[in-house]
Formats: sequence, structure tokens, C-alpha cells
Amino acid sequence: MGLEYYLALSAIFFGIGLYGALTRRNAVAVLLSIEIMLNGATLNLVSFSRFTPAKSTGQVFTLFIMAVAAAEVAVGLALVFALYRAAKTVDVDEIDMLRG
Amino acid sequence: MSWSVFAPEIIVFAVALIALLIELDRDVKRPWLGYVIGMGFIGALVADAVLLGAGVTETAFNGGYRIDALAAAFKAILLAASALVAIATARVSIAGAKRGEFYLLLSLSVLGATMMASAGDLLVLFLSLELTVLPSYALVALKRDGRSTEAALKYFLLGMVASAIFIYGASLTFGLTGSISFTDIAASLSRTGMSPALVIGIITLLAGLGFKIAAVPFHFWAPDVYEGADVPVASYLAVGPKAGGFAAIIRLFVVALGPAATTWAPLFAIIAVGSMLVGNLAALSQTTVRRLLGYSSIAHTGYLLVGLAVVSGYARTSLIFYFLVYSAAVLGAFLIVLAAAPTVGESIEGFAGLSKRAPGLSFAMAVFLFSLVGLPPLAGFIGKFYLFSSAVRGGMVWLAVVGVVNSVISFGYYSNIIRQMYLVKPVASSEVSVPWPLKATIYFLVAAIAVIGIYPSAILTMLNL
Amino acid sequence: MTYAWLIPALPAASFIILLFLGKRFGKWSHFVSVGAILSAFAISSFILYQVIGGRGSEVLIPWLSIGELDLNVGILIDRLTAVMLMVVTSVASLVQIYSVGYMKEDRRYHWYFACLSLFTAAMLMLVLSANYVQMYASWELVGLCSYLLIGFWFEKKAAADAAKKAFVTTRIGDVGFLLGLVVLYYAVGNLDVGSVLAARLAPAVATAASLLLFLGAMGKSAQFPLHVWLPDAMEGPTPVSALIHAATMVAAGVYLVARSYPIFAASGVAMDVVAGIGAVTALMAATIALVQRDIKRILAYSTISQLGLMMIGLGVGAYSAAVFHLTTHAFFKALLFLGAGSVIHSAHTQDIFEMGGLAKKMKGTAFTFAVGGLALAGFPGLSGFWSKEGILTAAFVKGAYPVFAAALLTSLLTAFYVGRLYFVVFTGSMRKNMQAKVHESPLAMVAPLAVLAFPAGLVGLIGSPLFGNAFQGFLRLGESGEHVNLMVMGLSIAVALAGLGFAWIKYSTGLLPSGLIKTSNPFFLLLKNKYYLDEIYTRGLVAPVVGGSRALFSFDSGVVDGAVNGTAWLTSKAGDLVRRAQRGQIQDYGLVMVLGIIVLIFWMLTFARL
Repeated sequence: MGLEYYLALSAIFFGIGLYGALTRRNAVAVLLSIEIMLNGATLNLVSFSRFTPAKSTGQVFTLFIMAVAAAEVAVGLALVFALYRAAKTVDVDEIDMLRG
Repeated sequence: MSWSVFAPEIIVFAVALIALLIELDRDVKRPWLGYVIGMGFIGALVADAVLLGAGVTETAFNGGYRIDALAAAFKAILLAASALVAIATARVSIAGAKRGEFYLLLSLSVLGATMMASAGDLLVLFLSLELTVLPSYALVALKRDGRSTEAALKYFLLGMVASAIFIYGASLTFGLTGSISFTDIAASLSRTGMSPALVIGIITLLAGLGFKIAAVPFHFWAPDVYEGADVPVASYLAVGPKAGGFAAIIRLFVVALGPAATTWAPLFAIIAVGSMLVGNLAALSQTTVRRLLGYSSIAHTGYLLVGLAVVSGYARTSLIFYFLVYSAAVLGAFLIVLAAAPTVGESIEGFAGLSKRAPGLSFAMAVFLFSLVGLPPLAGFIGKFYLFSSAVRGGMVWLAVVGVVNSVISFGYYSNIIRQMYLVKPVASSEVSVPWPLKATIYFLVAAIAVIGIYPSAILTMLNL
Repeated sequence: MTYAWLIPALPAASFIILLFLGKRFGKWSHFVSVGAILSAFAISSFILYQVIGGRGSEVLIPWLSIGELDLNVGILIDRLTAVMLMVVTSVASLVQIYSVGYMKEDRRYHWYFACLSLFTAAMLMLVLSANYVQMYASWELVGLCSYLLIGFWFEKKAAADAAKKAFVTTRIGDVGFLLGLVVLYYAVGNLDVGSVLAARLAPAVATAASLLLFLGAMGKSAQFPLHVWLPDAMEGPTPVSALIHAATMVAAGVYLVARSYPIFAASGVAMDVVAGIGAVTALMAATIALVQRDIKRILAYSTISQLGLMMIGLGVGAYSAAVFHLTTHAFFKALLFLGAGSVIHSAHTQDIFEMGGLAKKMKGTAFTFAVGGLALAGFPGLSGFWSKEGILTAAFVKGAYPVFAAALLTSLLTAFYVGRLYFVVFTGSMRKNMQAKVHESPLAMVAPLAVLAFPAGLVGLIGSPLFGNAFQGFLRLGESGEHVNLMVMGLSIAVALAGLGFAWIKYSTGLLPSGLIKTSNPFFLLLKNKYYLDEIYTRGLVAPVVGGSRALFSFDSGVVDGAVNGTAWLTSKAGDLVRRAQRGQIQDYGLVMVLGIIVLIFWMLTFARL
């Protein structure tokens, strides 16, 4: 299998994640969708790494992204929790106090 | 390479650790903590100034980290601004949070932004970028009320999307050029030239960084966050992440993507014009000072991007200089809000007759706002003159004209605040009491703006521009 | 002449001293500021003496030098500067002395003198600037001070509004100035006055630059259609009006054109525009002045009209005559305003029809007012006559007959409204309720009037043929020498006398029935409502701008509509996505981000050079 297949798959991942991030109403689901976007990007990195001379760079990059993603999820879930406590909702549609 | 070149980062990291240790002891109220943290930042600033003065140019970690004049200049602005924020907030109540928590998150974010200015490859850039924004999400939510939580969630979710887009761009750029190091990317780019896929890579990278500097169309979070966050947080956010973002953009585009400058320069021109227009026009009909400053900061991102739309060293120098000038004025304006809000609130109408109740603060606010407009003889005028003259020299007269016209539009909403302060009767007559560190910081910024405006050569020499 | 920097520095120092120590000085504040301005006046006199002796100087010091950008500041002294310095410092000195009496009871006495000092300092810096950027900086500072002074009594809503109007209107002109500088910088490569004026500009560049600069001058010097702020600026204290109208603010625009005259002269189009706008302004303002009832507004419209006359002079190439008129006008207009202040001070009204017969109680004021009025009306032998004469002659000799006709008609109208003003206020019978309170103003107010009356009446002589047109000869800049045109002079004497005479018949003798001009007459209404220009601005200009910004602003809060419209061409799937995304704010934001990226990518792939 050539590089194109991997790239296409990662683009699809990224697109699905983006779609989810822009359409899901539940904040947790949005968070999940963003993770899928990240997975698309990391898949890109890993496959480029596999098919180009710069062997390990992409894989190392991926490891870092995974670590950062974990940290982000921690912050994100804390925020969702705080939102639930403040507004009794986790629905991103319903928070629009700040606008204009 | 000696470790001493990392002195600013090491000191900031130590500052963060101190804040963390003090935060462990939760029961003490500590007005002195702000001074300690502020002194720490000043120490880092001195270390940075020494590096800048000595003209140190070093590359570390296989080109992943660069210490040079560009990095040092941005770090100096950033560290000075952070030190001022820390000192100004020393005796201010930081709502809903333990003081230590605020300073801990602040210094971690500052650490990230300093590293961002030095990033020499995509991985370090990504990591430092995340280190900058992750604590700032928490900072925004620090107040723990509905508005700040909402602002934080918006900032966080959009920021995550922007980061994901950035990484996607980074992966494409890596794949197509075979490297993540900026210099190697440049070498590969001048060999192979541009390709459509790389265009996508560049634009997605730009989107990720454009989010941090609040450039149109990635600007939506800025007004909401500046309004929703606690004021000390907002004043840091208007400067800190932006400094890192601009340094990273300059480094990424000028160094790594320099061979493709003819491709991306028009891109910056569009974004610059869009940011100026959206920021200024939306600001015209705002009713609260902070939201107005939020839109105004979007407009200023637009002015600053003129320095990238014109591809020349001269233009980039003018960008750095204008960034300094902008930081001083916008930080000052936020600190005025911090000082005045407990008494008069945050609506523009609340500022009515402030000149009677707090003549010093009103005068300072007028100086900040006039500097943001670009009225001579304040620093903002020299900054804009410098920036727009670079556009004229670069043959982009139209961009200078757009900038000038926008500055005039901006005058409408800034002068509205000044009019309220000076030409409208006060609604109440109670004095506005301001803690002295905050007052001292504000007057320091006024003096800085006046001095830079009247004798700009001094600061230009200091920044080694 | 290196000490010339002291001229603006002294009032500036006075500002700083009063800013910080003003409260301590209190009632003695004026000593600081009057002392400073009198010293500046002394130095200016000495400089004039030296310049007459043939010396001039240009001192440039590098101020900002980075990379390829060199910005100098400095002091440029030539004949124009020397004349302007004299005008500004002398009028400012008298205004400040006069203010001592006029503002005596004001609570913010020290702040008033601080602003006045800064105002003067900025104007002096403007006149001395050796670099256009420096000039622009002073220009803005002048505007800022006028904002503070017009709105000095900001408790009055009208004053606060007038201040805002003045600032905003002149800002429109300032854009022109700034863009003009952009053009000049592009063409010349630096902005030192000396090198810009020496540069040979292509005609197109000269036209663009001069028209843009003229836009700036139109704002500051209240030329049609940017004149609307000046009458409202009357809300400030009367001495401030005198200063604005005579020596500082409005003179700045004329000075800018005069200073940049070589650029204008290089473009025929620009000269014609200047003359044309000047003619329209002069005539329009003079007609409006005919029907105003407020003493200060009459004078304000008269200022606009006279400024139009100066622009006519510059536009037809009578450079020295225009500057001459600026000089004479500064003196007699200052005199008239200070006289009006004295009248208002004692009558406590500004409506001329509530006054009458004041000459009996206020002899000094009435006499000096008459001198100023006659000078303005162009009464033969007085200042205004000689300077107006030069402009009329130049317009006539150049063959610009429509402009000449407009200027002549303006002179007729001027004489008439001056006569009306004087006869209604000072002659006739006094109203009952006035009798008790009217009194002559204190000496500190009358003395400057008396002092001003001499230059106001006589300064014109130095530019008259009797003295061999010495003034014009001093300033001459590539124009042919003045030669007296007896026909023009005869006409101008005739219109001045006719106007004054008709006013005398109408308002003093009562020979004409008072109902001669019906107030319901549409032409009268048109004049009374100032050609409805304010209304046109409010409806035509302000409303769309506000509307436009609202529209763009709503884009940000309801991105939805814009997004829907902008992406109608996208596939139904994408359309569905947009529709779904309409529900939540965050996701709207995200959607626009993504759409922005997509648009940028398409744009780059289609148009950019890869």
C-alpha cells in the first residue's frame, strides 16, 4: 500500500473530527471529535515518517502530541465540569452570554 | 553552547516553581507574592537584556531552539509586560481564586510564550504553543462564575480546533519537505518549490498561529474572552500569547517558508486588511470598555500584520517596534479597567466624568487610547508611522492607505471613551481608590509611552533593532 | 537663531508648570502663562528683525534613524515663519491678558491657562516645523487643545457636543493630510520641508499631494464643506474663540497651504480647486452671516468667509496677498471677538436683537469694535481694505472672473453684515432691562482692545501702495509684483461703502420698512438654516456610517446570515453543515474559521504565484 492511502485515511479522520467538532452539541462529544482530528494529523505524521528518509521524527512528534492531547483533555473535562456546575448544562449551544 | 543562554527561561521556570510551592500552602493571604513573581520576571528580563546586549546567537537541540535578537526582543517585551501585570495585581483581589494559583498559571504561560519566541522547529513550536495556551485556558476560567467559564470553554474548544488544524499543517509540511527544522524546511523549499499540498500546509499552519494572535477570521474568541475573564487575566492575554504568536509567525514564515515569500505575503495582506476592518468596525458600537479593547486588539493585529505583508527586514523591525508600543498601551488600558471597574463598572458610560473623580487615571487612559489611535507625539504615532512607511517603501501604498483610514475609524470609538471621561458629567462623585502598585504600574506605562514617542531612538537601540 | 526653539518651549513649559502646580498658583496662574507668551513674543520680534536683515535658518536634528528610515525634527525659519510667529505670539499674548479679566471667576482658572499655553505652544511648533511629520504632530496637538478649550465648559451639553464636532470634522481633513504625507514620502523619500519643496514632482504627484494636503487645510481652516464645526465652536469661552479664529487653529490650514505653496503651484488643477473651494466658502458663509442673530455666530461665519478669501488668494497665485490677509485678519478678527466678549460679558446675551444702544454705556468697546468692523468691511484705508485689495486684484489680473465676482460679492455682503452687526448692537435705543446692568468692562479687558485696535486698523498700511507694498515684497514667492488696479480698487471701495450704507439705512435710520425681508421667504429660511448642511450631514453621512458599522458588527454576533449567503454555492452537504452550525455560538465561530481557511486555500491555489 502506498502513502496516498494513509494520507487519504488521515484526511478522512480529520474531516470527520472537524465535522463533529462543528456540529455536536454535547461539549464532551466536541472534545472527542477534536481528538479524532488530532488522530488524523498524527496518522499523517506517522505515515510520512514511514515513507520518507527522516525516520523517527514523525513518530517522536506523535508521542508528544499524544501527551499534550492527554493534558488538553484534562483541562477540557475540568472546564466542562465547571460549566455544568455553573450553568447546569453541557450543551455548547446554550452558552451564549458573551456575544456581540 | 552554555546553559547560561537559557537563563531567562530557567528563571521563569523557577518563578513558576516558587508559585507552585507557595500555592501548596493554601491558607495564607499574600500581598507580597505579586512582588516576588514580578521581581522574578524582572530578573528574567535582565538576563534576556544581557543576552540581547551581547548579541548572543545560539542554536540548541539540533536547531530546535534558537537564541537570537528576534527571540530576545520579543522575550523582553513579554517579560516586561508580565512583570508589570504581576506587580500591578499584587494588591488587587483576584476574584474566586487563590493568589498563588493565578501566579502559577501566569508564569507557566509566560514560560511557554518565551519558548515560542525561540522555537526553531515545528515540534518545539507546537509544544511551546500548547504550554502557552493550556495555562491560559485555566486562567480564563479562574473566576469560576458563569461568564468566565463560558469564555474559557469557548477559548478552549476553538483553541483545540486551531491546534488540531495547526498539527495537520505541520504534518503536511513535514511530509512534503522531509523535515521539521525551520532551516531544513527552507533548504528543501528552495530546491523543490511550492506545491498545492504545501499551500494547504502553510495556510493551516497560519490558521493555528493566527488564532493565537486573534487575526480575522480566527479572532472570534478574543472579545468574548477579554470580556469574560478576570481583568488581570485579560490584561495578560492581550499581550502574552500574542507576543509568542508573532515571534513564532515571523520565525516560521520568514525563516522556514522564506523562499515562498511571494506566495504568503499577499495572504498576510488580506488577513491584515480583514482584521483592521472587522476589529475597528465592530468596536464602534461596543458598550463595554473591555469588549471594545478586545475588538481593538483584533484591529491592532491587523496593523501588525502589515509588517509581514511587506517582505523586508525593515518591515519586520517595524512590526516588533509596533508590538512593543501596542503592548504598553493596551496593557495600560486594561490596567485602567482593573483600577476603575470596582468603582465605576466596565461600561463606557460608567466612565462618565472620570476626569473629576480620578484625574490621574483619566489622563493615563487618554494617553493610552491616544497612543492606540496613533496620535503624535505618543509612541503609537511613531509605531504606526514606522509600520506604514514600511508599506510605502515596499510599494504597497494601498496597504498604508487602508491602515491610515482604519486608524481614523478607530478614532471614533477611542474618542468616545475620552469624551465620556472629560466632557460628560459624572454620575457619582465618590473617589476612585487604587492600590499603589497598580497606580505605579500605570504611571510607569504612561511615562514609557511618552518617552518612546518623544525619543524613540532610545528604545530602538535598546531592543537592538 | 538656535534660540528659536524657546518660542514654543516657553508656553509648553508654562503648560507643564500649570499642569502640575496649577492648583498652587490658583488665581496667579496667569503670571506663568502670560509671562511665557510675552517672552515668546519678544523672541519672535527679534527673529523678525533678523529675518528682515536677510537671515534665515534651517536646523535639522536627526530624531529617529533606523534602517533606511531617517526622520528629522528641526526648526525652519524663513520669512513666512517670521510673519506667522509675530501674528501668533502677539494675538495670543493679548488674548491671554484679556482672559485674566474674562475668566476671573472660573473654577478651573489654572487649567484654562494651561490649555491656552499648550494651544499656543502647539501652534508655534507647527509654524516652526522643519519636517512635515513634526508639523503633523503639532497639527494634531492643536486639534486636541481646541477640543479641550471648546469643550472647556463641558457641563453645557452644547459645549461638549461642539468640541466633539470640531474634533471629528477636522479629523476628516487630517486623513487627507496624512495621506498627502504618504504620497510625498513615496515621491520624495523623506519629509523634510526643505527637500520636499525643492523636489521636482511629476504633475500627477503634485496634484494628488496638494489636493490631499488641501483636504487637511479645509478641515482646520473650515472650508466648505468641512466648515460646520467652526460656528458651533462658539460654545467655548470667547477669548478662546478669538484665539481659534485669529491666530491658531484656522490659521493652521492657510499656513499649511502657504508653506506647501510650491507643491500647489506645480499643479494647475490644485490651484483651481483651492480657488474654487475658497470662492464657494467665502460666498456661502457671507450669505449665512447675513441672517444670524447670535453675535459670535455672525463673527464665526465671517471668519469662514474671510478664510475662503485667503484660499482664493492662494488659488489665484497671490501668495503674499493671502498671507497678508491672514495677518490683517488675525488682528481685526481678534479685536472683534474680544469686543464681542466684552459686550457679552456686560449684556449677558448673545442675541444682537436683544441689545441696542450699547455705545452710550460702553464707549471704549464700541469704538474699538467699530475700528475692527470697518477693517473687516474693507473700509478704505484700514487694514482689511489693503489686504482684500491684493486678493481681488490678483484674481482680476489672472482673469479668474467667476472667482473675482464671488470675492467682490462677498465683500459687499461682508460690509452689509458688519454694518448690521454694529448698528443693531451699538446704536438705536437701549432695552429697558439692559439699562441697569450694562457697564463698561474692566480695564484688563478694555486695554487689550485698545492695544489691538492699532494693529487691527493700521497693520494693513505696511502692505499698502503707500509704503510700496513692503509686506508683499518681503514675502514674495515667484509672483509678479503687485500693481494697483484702479478699477478693482474703485469697485472694492464702492461695494464696501454700499454695503455699510445700506446697513445704515436699514438698521439705524429706520427708513426702510422692517418687513422688507419676510422671515418666511424661502431664501431667508435657506440662509437661516445654513443651507441645511448640518441636516444633510446627519442624514447623509453619519447615518450610513453608523448603519454600516452596525451591519458589520452584527456579522460578528450573527455570523450565520453572512455565512449562509457567502456559501450558497457550496454543495447541499456543506449547506446542511452551515444550517446545523447555526445553533451554537462556539460552533459558528469555528465554522467561520474553517470557511476562512477554505476560502484562503482556494484563493491561493487560484491566484497566487506558486
